[in-house]
Amino acid sequence: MATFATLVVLGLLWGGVYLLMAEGLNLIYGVMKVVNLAHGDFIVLGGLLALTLFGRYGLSPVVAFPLAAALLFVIGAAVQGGVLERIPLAKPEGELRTLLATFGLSYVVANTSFLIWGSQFQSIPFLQSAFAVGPIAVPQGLLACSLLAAALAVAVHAWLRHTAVGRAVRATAQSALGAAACGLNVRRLRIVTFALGAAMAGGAGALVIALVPFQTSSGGDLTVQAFTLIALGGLGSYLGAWLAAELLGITEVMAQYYLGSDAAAAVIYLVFIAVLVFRPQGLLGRTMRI
Amino acid sequence: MSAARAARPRFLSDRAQFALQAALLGVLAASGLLIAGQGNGYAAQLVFNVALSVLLATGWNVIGGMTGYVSFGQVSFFGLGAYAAAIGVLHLALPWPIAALLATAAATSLAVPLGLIMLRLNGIFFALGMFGLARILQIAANGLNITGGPMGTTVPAAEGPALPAAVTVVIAAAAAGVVAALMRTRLGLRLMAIRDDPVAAEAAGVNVWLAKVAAFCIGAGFAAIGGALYVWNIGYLDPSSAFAGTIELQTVLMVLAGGIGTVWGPVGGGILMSLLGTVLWARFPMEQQIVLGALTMLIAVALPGGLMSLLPRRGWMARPPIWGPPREASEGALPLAVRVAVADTPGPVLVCRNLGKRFGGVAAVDGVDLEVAPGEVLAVIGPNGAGKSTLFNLLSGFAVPSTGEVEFAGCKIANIRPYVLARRGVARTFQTSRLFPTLSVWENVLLAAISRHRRKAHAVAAATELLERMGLREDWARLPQGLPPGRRRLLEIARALALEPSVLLLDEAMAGMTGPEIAQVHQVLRAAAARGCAIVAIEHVLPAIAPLAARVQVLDFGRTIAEGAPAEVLHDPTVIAAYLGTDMAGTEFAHA
Amino acid sequence: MPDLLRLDAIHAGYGGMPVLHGVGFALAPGETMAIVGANGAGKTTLLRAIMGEVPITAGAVWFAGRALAMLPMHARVRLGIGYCPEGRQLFPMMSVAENLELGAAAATRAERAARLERVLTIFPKLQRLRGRLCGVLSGGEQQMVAVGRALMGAPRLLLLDEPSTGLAPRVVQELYESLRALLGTGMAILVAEQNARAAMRFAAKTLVFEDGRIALAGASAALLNDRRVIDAYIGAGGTAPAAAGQGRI
Repeated sequence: MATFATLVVLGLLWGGVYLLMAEGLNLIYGVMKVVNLAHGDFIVLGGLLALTLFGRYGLSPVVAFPLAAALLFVIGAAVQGGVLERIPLAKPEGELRTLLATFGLSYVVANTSFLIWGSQFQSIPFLQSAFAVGPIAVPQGLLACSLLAAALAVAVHAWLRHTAVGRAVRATAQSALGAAACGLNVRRLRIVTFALGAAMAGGAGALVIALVPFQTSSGGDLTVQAFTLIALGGLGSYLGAWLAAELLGITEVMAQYYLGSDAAAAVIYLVFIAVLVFRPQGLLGRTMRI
Repeated sequence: MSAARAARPRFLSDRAQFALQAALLGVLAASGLLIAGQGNGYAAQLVFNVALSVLLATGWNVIGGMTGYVSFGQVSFFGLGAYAAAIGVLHLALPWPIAALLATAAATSLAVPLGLIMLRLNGIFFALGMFGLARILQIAANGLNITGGPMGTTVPAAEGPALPAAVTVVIAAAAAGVVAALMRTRLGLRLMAIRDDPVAAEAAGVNVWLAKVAAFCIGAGFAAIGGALYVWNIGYLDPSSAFAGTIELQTVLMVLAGGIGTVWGPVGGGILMSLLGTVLWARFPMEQQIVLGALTMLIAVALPGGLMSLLPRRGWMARPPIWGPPREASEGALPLAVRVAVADTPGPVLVCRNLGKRFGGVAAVDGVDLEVAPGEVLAVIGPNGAGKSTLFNLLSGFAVPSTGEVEFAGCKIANIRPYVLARRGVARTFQTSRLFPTLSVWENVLLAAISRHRRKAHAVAAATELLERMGLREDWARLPQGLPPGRRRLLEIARALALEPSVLLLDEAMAGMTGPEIAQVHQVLRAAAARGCAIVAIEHVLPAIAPLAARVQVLDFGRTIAEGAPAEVLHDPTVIAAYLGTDMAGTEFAHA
Repeated sequence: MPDLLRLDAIHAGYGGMPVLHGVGFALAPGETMAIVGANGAGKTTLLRAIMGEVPITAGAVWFAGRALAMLPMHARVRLGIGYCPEGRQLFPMMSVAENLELGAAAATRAERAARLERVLTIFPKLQRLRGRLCGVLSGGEQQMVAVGRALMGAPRLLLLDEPSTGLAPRVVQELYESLRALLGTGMAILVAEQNARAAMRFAAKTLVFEDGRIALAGASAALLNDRRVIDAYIGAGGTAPAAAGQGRI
């Protein structure tokens, strides 16, 4: 029983981290209906940056977290502004072309990371002890990362609701034409959105690398995981994504424990396909926008 | 208002073009065999790689290019073929050719249930779903102990690369030949139509599901043979190589670079990109994927049609419309036929009672009764948003009613797929033109004709006759966007008539037509009605249909507000108010 | 007075399909004009062409002396054109107040507050709906928010694209009565409408479109009960097919 409770708690904490990993993708999809296939590679890149900052300068992931996010922000802006903006989304093949472009980008980022960091699984040892809450052993590192992830997610959410630019981004997601009719520079907003999505991915990576090791080729798996999450939650919906994140966190942790890591990886993909095929509108049943 | 006719495009006939393509493929294959047979192991291995790439690219092109379902998981079948063949050789002691054939058969059969699941997805979801499928299969292979799990196993291989190279060259050339032939069959035409517009294809009587699954299986089959050949050549099998993401990247890039959806695109792209890949692997192995990835981005942004889009697509390079050109039609050849069986049934051929459709809280159609008898012309008019197009969607099976029912020839149409209805004789046009942009005028009509006629000769004759009647014969080879708007509408009507319908639903079909064009349409419609075809025509402006229509039904806010002869309805104040707004007699002018 | 808006023989269309053929007219500051005509006659395309949504293949659009040719839509809005697109295009998950405030994104807080007051005076019903999400409003309420949002930009020219779509006649009447408050303020108004009578009672001048060309032009009062306008919509007695494609008079 204690084991089960532990698993649930761990799952909930992991959910917070997953949420951060997926939020960036959700934001981009909500505004531009584009799935960035390089999202997972951005997460890995953020993690490896944090690794270098830790290894070379002894910076803890807590500090590396905003730095990685900042760098990925710049990279994201460059990608959207320099490359993806050239594909007109209005035409029907625009979405597919963007998908193909991010498909290529994924390989570029993954391979560049490989050149810099090599192919081993790497991780940061950080807060590796656990403290006990009753019969449950809560790992400190996981708790810290989960809280930070939640903090960032909440911060972005608040930014979207209460700042002028944030509201402009939400408006663009709900009606790009309406936004333009309000005099909003939709092109610039798209660049900001993509950059922010990339930044959130980078930040998530900096946190996750302190918890589990990954390698430069893990990007693809992470993209699918993030996409599963937001598909399950209903693309574009924040509440749905949070629910899905917690569910997925618990499922992953349990699958790992009871079935082993290989099977756990398969579980994610099966859920992914099942959601796409059987319930594309997500858990909450309708696509709410941000 | 006849425009100056451009020089009629010249094409080689179907047979001649196919012969030319086959010859070219033969030349390529022969050179491949020559190089492979040189005795230089390195050259033979290179030929093998190139040929394998062409094979994979061709397979991807069938589902990705011809049908429009871009996949990021074609490597699933590559791996399946590799594993099945290896198991056949290792554990069933089969000789390689048998093992390869069985593996291909196994993978292709597996593609049927997989296709039925995955093809429910569209666009990016399909692409990602296939990616997920590939990863699932890789993980499953990791757990497969009879093939050594994640570490893999050695497999008895061919001695030297020469034989695999030769075999692969032949198979790749044959695959490209199959695709070239496919583009001239009913299935090929249907796939290209589905790629352009699946809804219009369904309305033209195409069983979209069956066609998609067929294309999926063909693509899977090619990939599976490739997998088996790969293992035969390399002598080693492990999950991460058999389901490698780089294979997917290279395949996608090859087709994209060459020209998605064309015959030569995968061949040219396959040759070029695999040579490039080999050079990169030799010189810059670490950076290979960066270059290929960057190239993919570049092409997606700057040249989405690939290299083929750079070549002038005229003369002998152009894709000739299939089964063309239409011969000079002789006078009174095949009259416009109509289902005799239906014309026999007494009473109205199309009936709807209390038909309603709600979207969210809004009733687009609200309790509409309608009936039309064989040979009758009913006009349905009403202002914007009155629910006319929704009504048509309900009548043609494209929407499910919230209330009420529709009967066609005495049968309720509740659960019948639209393409079945189309084949049974309910034809429609769409309010915004839904012609197939990459198919010629001739092919647009032919697609519907083949849904009606099993024999090629009949379909060709029927399509020829229709083009002649509509005055479109001269433009048979043009693409729809090259026609002025009125003639595009003529084409849509022709396509609908090619189904030889007993009920013809025209949705603002005469919008934008000139006087003479309208007169021509009236002539054709009169002939169809004389043969017993019932016509329901939505028009926003009545003069287009008034000369033909015995009755007019006026809709507003989803309900019928008036019915009767055209003259009465046009002067009915309720109707005028619905269009122009209520007189608001008491309201003063806002301005001076 | 120089024209506020001028179109010089523009041709415009979608993809390969031309819709507008040689349309030209001018609007002075403070003038009101109704664009009426049957479905597909080109009314919406005209407004979209002015706003840059639809490419112009020949001719030019001038606003306050500036050529609009290469400007993206948001830049045109910032020049002083308020745009109420077809279908309203509100932000359904945001409140009425948020929608309205986004219309004044470029203004200072004080200006925004002042303009909001003004809009609420024109549409008093919106006062009590301030906090409501736009997605749950009725059609008429949504239309008011849409117009209000365009007004928040303090435009010199207001473009309304078929504001009466899907609205019951009484609601249409209310809407146009509210819009009267805008007359005489110096704002030019161009309204494209299917509901010809409401528009023609509101605007001083009328252009009747047919097949992408101007078929009739003149003072609204004179044209209101002109049989030719009715014909342009529903058609004559219905004997021979109307000479579509050849303009009237």
